[in-house]
Amino acid sequence: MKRSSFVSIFFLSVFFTGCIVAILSLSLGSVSIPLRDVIRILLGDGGVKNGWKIILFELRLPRICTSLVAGGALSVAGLGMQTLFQNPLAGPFVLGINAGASLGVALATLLAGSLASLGLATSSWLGSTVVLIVMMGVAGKVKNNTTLLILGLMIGYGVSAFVNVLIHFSSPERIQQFIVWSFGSFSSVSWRQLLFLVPAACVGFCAMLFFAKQLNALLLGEAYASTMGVSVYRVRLALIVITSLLAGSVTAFCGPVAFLGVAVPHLCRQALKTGDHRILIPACALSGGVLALTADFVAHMPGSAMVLPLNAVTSLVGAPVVIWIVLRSRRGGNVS
Amino acid sequence: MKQKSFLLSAENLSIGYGKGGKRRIVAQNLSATLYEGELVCLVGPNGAGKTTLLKTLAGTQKPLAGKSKAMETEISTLTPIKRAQTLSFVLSGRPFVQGFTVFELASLGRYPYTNWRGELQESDKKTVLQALSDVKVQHLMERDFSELSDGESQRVLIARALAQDTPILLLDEPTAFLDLPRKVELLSLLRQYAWEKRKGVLMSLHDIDLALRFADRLWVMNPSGSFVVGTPEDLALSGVIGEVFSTDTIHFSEDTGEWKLKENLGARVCVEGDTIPSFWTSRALQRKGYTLVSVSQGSCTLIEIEVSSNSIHWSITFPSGEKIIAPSIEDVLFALSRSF
Repeated sequence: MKRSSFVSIFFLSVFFTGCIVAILSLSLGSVSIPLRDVIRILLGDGGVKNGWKIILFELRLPRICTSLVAGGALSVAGLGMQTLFQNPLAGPFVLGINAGASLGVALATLLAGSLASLGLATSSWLGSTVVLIVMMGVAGKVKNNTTLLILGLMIGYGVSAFVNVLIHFSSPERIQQFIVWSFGSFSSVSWRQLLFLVPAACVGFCAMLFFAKQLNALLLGEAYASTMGVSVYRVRLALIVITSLLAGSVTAFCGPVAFLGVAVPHLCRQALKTGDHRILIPACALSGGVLALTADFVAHMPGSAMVLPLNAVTSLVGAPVVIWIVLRSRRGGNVS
Repeated sequence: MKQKSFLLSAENLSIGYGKGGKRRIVAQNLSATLYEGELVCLVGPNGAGKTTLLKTLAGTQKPLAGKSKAMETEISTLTPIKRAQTLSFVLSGRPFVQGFTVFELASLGRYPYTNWRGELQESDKKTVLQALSDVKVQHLMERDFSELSDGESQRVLIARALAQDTPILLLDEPTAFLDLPRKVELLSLLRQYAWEKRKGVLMSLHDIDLALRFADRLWVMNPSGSFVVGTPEDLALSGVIGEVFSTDTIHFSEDTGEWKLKENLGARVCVEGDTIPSFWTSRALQRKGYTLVSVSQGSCTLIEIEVSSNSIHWSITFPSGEKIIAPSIEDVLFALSRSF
């Protein structure tokens, strides 16, 4: 069929783009390492500067892995939320997961009390888990998903307000630490932390793939899905857990990375011209990862020692791209 | 006569929303049966609870009291998959779905039969193709669902329900948004489906006129609480239709089976001439509220229609004796409006 070959071309081209950006990220940065030497280091060849080895293995390689995994996880989570809530503006954070995480981090950094010893990742994870538990409780009570969406957003606003109060009463140095976390970054993740992040993302990805059939049915709306044999309530709970696992783990290690989770599902849908989740979930995982890698590459401004906030790059570069694509597709005919 | 086997039945069903003290009952004591091979139209004024009843029968909403059964099994005890293999439902309105072709959308109907990946076997594909050709949209198969017209998309949604291959098909206002010829076409399709494949089709329809012409039986819901079941003609004869649907301004005329405005200009007009031009002239006069009488019924304005080889003339004789020749029905109406 025409579509299946088109899909393969999409996957291959995104994959190769990813490879190129990954190689560039290894070689370029605040310190440039010639490509020939990058390859020699990767092949375990001696006789290359030891400092370069450390930069490559301890900084750039984990950063590349982190951005691939985090971008993919956020995009897959965003796709699930957009379908569950039938809302194109939904993303991985509509359930208030980032708000919960930032509350955890705010408590840790701003109060610097007992929570500080837990570290940022743990406190972030604790915060989002609390929100998850609240949302699970709410999800069992409300009838439809729109109510759940509004509740998620409201819980998010409420928690953010509390964070603002904390910021208001904190000293500037502590606020600085919190702000840096809220910019998002793929750089602070070590190999050891990746040992948590990668399995969490893989489990979440596989679980989402397992629900592809249900998600396809949900595209027609909850009512239709239920008459087709989907137990909407169970799917809703499962999706909340999967999203929390994906977005919660990423946020714990990388901070609240904006934009990717909302934009990538749209880009994939547009590029592949399909709504089939069996294709979209892997597509989002791959292109989300590659896009995150690219954003991180740009944020590190090759050739200079400066590093831009990751969220600034994802939003500044990404938003116009999405605007362009959405406007173009509207003009393309299906004005509804 | 062979005993008809029943597919769906409601026994003293109460429908509505909420639970405990806060519940709102929409209708109660509903009892009716849907047999195989029949098309039943659920009619009633707006707000009578047609959609709520359909949702309750489809099992997406719980009954407040009473039982709804699908072939001896209570619907609320069925597992979601088993329920989806028994009942399919076409909801009112058009869902906004992007990136699905017509075939893919219709094949979602195979949900309760496919494996966890939702992969279609050859037999599934055949069922979907059959469903698409049953509602005559097989030529749209490769088109994107979001680009279809309202009429086409409604048919595709019905094809999805047919692909679900259930003995019972429920539809909520399937003809809304369609123009009259497409409404008639769709209803004939559904009736043919019910008759030929021995399925039970139950649909709500706000168009009582069409329901009277197409349904094998009617379920009539009245906001006052009465619930009457029967053949359309029986219900018209017994006055149920007139009672439920008549308002201050419109009433059901039992002699013609048509709906008429009660307001009347009172002016008496008599039409004479060939059958077909007379029919349309009378229609126009009724629409404008004139009272149609025959010549023997006393003084009136007489309209005589003269058909020659290539034209029609209307000659109007007013009670005063004045006479006008009009070349079209529009001119007839104009002349009458000037004189009364």
